Amino acid sequence: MRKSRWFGLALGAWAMLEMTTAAWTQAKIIGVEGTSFDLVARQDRITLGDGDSMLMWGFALGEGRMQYPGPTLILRQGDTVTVTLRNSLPREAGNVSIVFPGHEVTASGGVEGVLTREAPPDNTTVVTYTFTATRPGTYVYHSGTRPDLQVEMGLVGVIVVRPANPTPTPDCSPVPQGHNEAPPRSLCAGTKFAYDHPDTAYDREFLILMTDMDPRVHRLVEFGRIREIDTTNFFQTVWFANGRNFPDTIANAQVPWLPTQPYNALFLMHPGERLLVRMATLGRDPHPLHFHGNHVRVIAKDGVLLSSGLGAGSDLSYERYTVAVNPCETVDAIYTWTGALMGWDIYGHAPGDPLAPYEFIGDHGANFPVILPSRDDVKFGQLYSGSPFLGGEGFLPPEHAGLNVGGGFFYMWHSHTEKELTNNNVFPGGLITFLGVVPWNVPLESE
Amino acid sequence: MRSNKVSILLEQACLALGLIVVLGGGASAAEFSLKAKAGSMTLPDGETVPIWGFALGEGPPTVPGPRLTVPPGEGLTVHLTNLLPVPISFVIPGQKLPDNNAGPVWTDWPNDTVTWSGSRPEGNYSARVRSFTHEVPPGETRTYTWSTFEEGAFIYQTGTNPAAQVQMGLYGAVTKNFSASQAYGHPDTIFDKELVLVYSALDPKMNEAIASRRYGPGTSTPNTRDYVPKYFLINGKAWPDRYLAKVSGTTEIFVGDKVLIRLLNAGYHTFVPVFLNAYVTARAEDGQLYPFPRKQYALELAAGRSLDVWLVPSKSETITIYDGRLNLTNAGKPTPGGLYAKIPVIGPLTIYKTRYSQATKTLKVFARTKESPGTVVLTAVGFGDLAYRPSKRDYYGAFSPVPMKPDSVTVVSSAGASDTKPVPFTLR
Repeated sequence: MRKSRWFGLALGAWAMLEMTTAAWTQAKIIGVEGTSFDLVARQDRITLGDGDSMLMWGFALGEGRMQYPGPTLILRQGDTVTVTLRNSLPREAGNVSIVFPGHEVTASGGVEGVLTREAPPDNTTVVTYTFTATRPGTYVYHSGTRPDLQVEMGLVGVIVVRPANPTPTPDCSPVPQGHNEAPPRSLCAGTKFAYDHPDTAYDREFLILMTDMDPRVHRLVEFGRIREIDTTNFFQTVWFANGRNFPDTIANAQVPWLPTQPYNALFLMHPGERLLVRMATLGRDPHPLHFHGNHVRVIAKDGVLLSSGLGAGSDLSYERYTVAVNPCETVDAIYTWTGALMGWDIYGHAPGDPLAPYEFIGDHGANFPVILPSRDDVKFGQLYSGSPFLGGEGFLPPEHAGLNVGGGFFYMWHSHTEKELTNNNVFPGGLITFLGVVPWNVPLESE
Repeated sequence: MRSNKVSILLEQACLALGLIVVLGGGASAAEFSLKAKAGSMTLPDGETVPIWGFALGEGPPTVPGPRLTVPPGEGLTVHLTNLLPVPISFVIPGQKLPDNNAGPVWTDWPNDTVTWSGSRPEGNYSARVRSFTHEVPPGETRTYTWSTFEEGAFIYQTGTNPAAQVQMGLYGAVTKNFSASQAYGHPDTIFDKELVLVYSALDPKMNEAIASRRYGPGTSTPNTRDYVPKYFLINGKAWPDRYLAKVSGTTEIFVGDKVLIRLLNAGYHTFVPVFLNAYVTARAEDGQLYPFPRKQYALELAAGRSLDVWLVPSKSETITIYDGRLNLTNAGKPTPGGLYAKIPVIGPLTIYKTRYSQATKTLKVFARTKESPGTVVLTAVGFGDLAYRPSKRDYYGAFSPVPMKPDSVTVVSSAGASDTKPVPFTLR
């Protein structure tokens, strides 16, 4: 036990070091856009947060490698979408299919199953699923064949449908200096919309698919003992955000050492931006995603705006600091952060200094409320910049990883089922990720 | 809100009326005589599990128990006869305790012999509550009365040692509507068809221990700590039971129907019913109206919860409900099991089956219509009329000789509707 714990920590440190080689600038949903997708179910392996290697069944795009989760399909409202599925899994996996909750799907080819048409494991038969993306929103897809086993094994994915109306190009220049609202309603001159209403405007969007795993099942499959699997005995010990466990969740997307886990789960923003947080769960349990830094405003569930009627916007939206997402459900929420109402100037300004972008005027020049302890009396966390101020930098000990280039504020976002913050019983791990609020002089990739 | 007031006034009026009628010798209350009995349930994989259940009369008990329907404006009276070896009781979460309850029943744990009713016996700090209301001792009959009853869908269940007794099967659905075609006082709650789906689960090991009295302090199964459900049930059935292939039963669901589906969870875990190929509108929870409708495809059905959702099918197809938490197996077996249920939806005129026999040169066509039986004439174009079959409530035609298998067949109705389907074809 002790050995594996040290190994986990060592691996974590290694992953952290790797992260410094590339700047944290990826701040968008990575997926594949289009109206026609060729998916293939394949067997491959993933790496857990503690370094373990796990056999998986997952969806691959065409001749690519299987990935966990499957490719995020990014659609445009009104498009007629075709998804083909071929089953390249080993014979003992049996048939495979895809269901798309929230869409009216026509399936053809293959053989009839309980939920939809299925592809036998012959690597030849093609099943075709067709639907029209009638509503914008966040959706899931997953295997509709023996889902109690195949969802566990990794045959899961997410669909994002963007509204049909033309999306205005974001124009955030010039960035307004200072504001008096807490939080501001909409910030850039042009904004993107999650749904067909200005209430759903956002500057930057992220996705978090939460899943769980019982490694015993994967081992029984790997050792040819699939007949011994009893899915009523499930007991999860590993939890995922976008197919990765912490600390891999905050590594960059598409890193070479996680070839079958291309998506990360690091949220990044500039102060004052509106984040659209798309949440989804697949697997056994709901995961109460807990936000630090601010509440979120829940605006939609299952791809339906929380609205009292046409044109009413998200008038039934509500604020939460924890959002439990049940398996198969999706929830969309808006998150904003400006540091307003902290009671001290987060930039460390003197009263006469110019305002920072979206700085809360009410706190401008207000003193930092405590006297910082001496550097000999503190432990320097890996995400501490050396300064308590946003955009500030200061002394860091020589052995410090120096991960927080630019002096951002980092807030942990995590499942509040605290048991899920582990990788096989070792903390920290599992369903932990971070929101990084970085100053405007640190560029973030635009979509 | 006004309509709520009206319904409260109505209830008060009915209560007053009920009292008057009581004085006159009768009660304005739905009256049921239930018997709690031991029985058994055979699951689709052949496993037979002992159960305790309720029955209306002399037949075997069912799981869930019989659905009790309280007519608009009325109260409820249940005469419960206990043919089980242990005391039981009768409660309905979401309603008040029965009018004639005498407080909880306390017992001298772990002997479980001496009992008290009402408050904790004075100075006794080891007594435990065994029942939420008055009990029915084995072999006897007791009455539970509600002079007023809230509208909605609810679970009735034993109120005695519920951790053990409810999972044995001592539960069922009780509903009360505002009127024959409206669930609550709000006009949004009008319905054409009503389905009640009671979700639950069972662990055969626990049932066997409790049924054979190997349960309780000092036995091999001292409590329900190790309860791990192996079978997952909708109205007491697990997939692939034929019942679940058409969970709407004899209620035909047509395109455009306002179908009120009452989801109830009598199990001990949360289920997440997911409607495939359809959205539903959730309108009430635990018998309480939401301020606004909620359009969803996935619903959180926590243990003990009641959800009223409306399904308005837009086309002729089969809508499947499955559990988002993946309780989709019978005891871990690889074939589909557990919480799948299907609702076939038929159009104004739907051909649901076509067959052609090369040997007999016969074409068979099966169809259904929304119109009342026998009021329309259905014609298979080029072949002839279909005949109404009262026993199957469908229209059927066998045409012979048809020398070549046609690619498709079209049926037209004298009411104007038509449908074309390939040959052969089966609606799923």
